[in-house]
Amino acid sequence: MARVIKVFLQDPGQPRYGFELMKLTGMASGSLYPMLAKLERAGWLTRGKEDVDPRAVGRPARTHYTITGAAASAARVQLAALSEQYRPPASGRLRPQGGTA
Amino acid sequence: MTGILWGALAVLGTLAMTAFGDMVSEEVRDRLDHVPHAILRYAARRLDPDQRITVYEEVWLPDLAYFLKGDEARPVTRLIHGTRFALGILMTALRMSTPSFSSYGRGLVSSFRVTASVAKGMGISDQNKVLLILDVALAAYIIPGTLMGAELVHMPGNKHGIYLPHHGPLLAIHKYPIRWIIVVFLDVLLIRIGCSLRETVRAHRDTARELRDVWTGKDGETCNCKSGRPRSR
Repeated sequence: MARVIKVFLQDPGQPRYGFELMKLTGMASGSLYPMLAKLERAGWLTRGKEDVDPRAVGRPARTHYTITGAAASAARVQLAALSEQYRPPASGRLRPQGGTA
Repeated sequence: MTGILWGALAVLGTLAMTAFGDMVSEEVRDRLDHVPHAILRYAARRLDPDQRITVYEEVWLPDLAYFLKGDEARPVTRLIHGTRFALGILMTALRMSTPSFSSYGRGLVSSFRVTASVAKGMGISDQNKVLLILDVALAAYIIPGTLMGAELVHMPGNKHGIYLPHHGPLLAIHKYPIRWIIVVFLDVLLIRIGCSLRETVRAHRDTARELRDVWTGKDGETCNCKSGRPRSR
């Protein structure tokens, strides 16, 4: 879920499509669509219709999702808190990868 | 003269075979294009009717059409990508439409209570307990089988029960109505336990995946030590 939210937070006003999100996050359709449905039910995403003429493009108009302002703020706070929670302790002495010193 | 005739026939035959090959190719391509749509329709059947309109018609179908249109020039790639897209959705369609884990838990508790009260009121003997276990095992086998479309064989002289050799009708509803009630409750219980376990496993797996996503960035920074902490820079 963090990956999907991260994509939305890159440009909160930008509507995102399912296919685009699959490519950007590398997630499979079976994981992504339930997650979008869950986020929409929670009020984090709003749904809209692609502004195309189905007859002109030869396919039905797709649904796009936009993150709400409140959700964007909440997501930033949650992600920051999560990052803080899992940050390694500052007092620990860091060693280079594979090093012995 | 005969040579010219054979030559003309050969040319005509080649043209006919080429045309036939093209027709078959077109037919196969057209039919293969329906495979992802058929899988998606099957997935949509597993949703609630109101979800079917909002999710299937407004989200899945337009995305599949867009997905397939991008691979329009490559039929095999289109088939593979489209089928993978539809199968992924099919696998989780049930998860989108099933109730939450907490509702399963509440159902589980209520089933326990009802079954316990019925069993207590009956005062089941040891012999009946054995039969009851057999019935539950049988019902646990029959109900999923019936749901999957398996046909039950009706034995002569045993209209209402399931016949087992050497034991007679174990599930004769006119003889053992209370046992039937218990069997149904216990079977519902078994199914709910199975569903709850499945949901628990999925929840744990999703949580583990999300934690892994937090630790593993998209830029390739990976967890590097045995403790599971991210690599320090």
